[in-house]
Amino acid sequence: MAYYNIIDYITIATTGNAIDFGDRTTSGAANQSIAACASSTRGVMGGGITVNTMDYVTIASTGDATDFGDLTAARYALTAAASPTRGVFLKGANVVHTMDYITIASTGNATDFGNDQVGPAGYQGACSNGTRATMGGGNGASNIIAYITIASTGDATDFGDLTVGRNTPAALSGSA
Amino acid sequence: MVNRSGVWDLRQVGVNEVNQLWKVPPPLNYGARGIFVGGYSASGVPLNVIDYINISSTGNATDFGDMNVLTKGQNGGLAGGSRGVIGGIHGGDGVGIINNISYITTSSTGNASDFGDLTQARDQLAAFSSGSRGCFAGGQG
Repeated sequence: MAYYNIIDYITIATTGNAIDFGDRTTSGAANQSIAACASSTRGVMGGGITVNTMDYVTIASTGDATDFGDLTAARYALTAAASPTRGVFLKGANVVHTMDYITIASTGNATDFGNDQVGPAGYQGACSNGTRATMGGGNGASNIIAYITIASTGDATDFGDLTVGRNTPAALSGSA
Repeated sequence: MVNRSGVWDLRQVGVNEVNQLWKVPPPLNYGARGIFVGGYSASGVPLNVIDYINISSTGNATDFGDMNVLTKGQNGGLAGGSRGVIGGIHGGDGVGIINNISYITTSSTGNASDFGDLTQARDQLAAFSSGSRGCFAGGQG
């Protein structure tokens, strides 16, 4: 098995092959089962097997990542979502309920957000509309969707069900 | 957005220049519609299902369409405006990790299409975007 600390980029409005952006600060299995969130300018990557590290890049540039700070716990198979200013790292296969948040524009360690006791532990997908983050699927082929309000630090609430329960869906949000 | 048609006097031009009203706003890296792509069943079968939700409401997801390749998940999704992009795909047993990048139009429903290839086939990566540029980071293969 090989682990990759590489970062690729694409121009979303076009099609075509990805281009090398730079490298993460991490090595080995710390690059597996990670998650990321972003503002319009900065992307923050965190977690992995089995680390609590976060690093960041300026998306409009290219170049290697820089250390951001630490999550409150080492997490892998976690997921992440963001508002324009706040990023949230959610749960993980080894962290059953807790979530962390960061201020994307700064650097520093993450802070406890609240708990998600609605959905399963890890292997979820998460997306946001800028104010609310939704987390779906996950460990055990869950069909549960839960949500949090990103600007708060409150616990997750049930949203509804996926059409098919599954592990590790990708999640994204876009214009309706 | 201002109406750009017609004849503009210098005052109107100045107001629009000062307030940057000429510019089309850049695409956002988030939107009202949440989309969940692929994954694998409890028995390990890769799925090509795509669901969507209205994030500001609550309720069950609705079928969106299908991925252009089976994906066991463990991949990353990102978006800009009305385009969603998925990369880092594991095609399941017998297929393994592929370097495909796929895309969907989030504002419609329908199946995914081919976008291009990652520089390195890998899964269990992370994806994020500024709205106009998308990045895929880390992973294993």
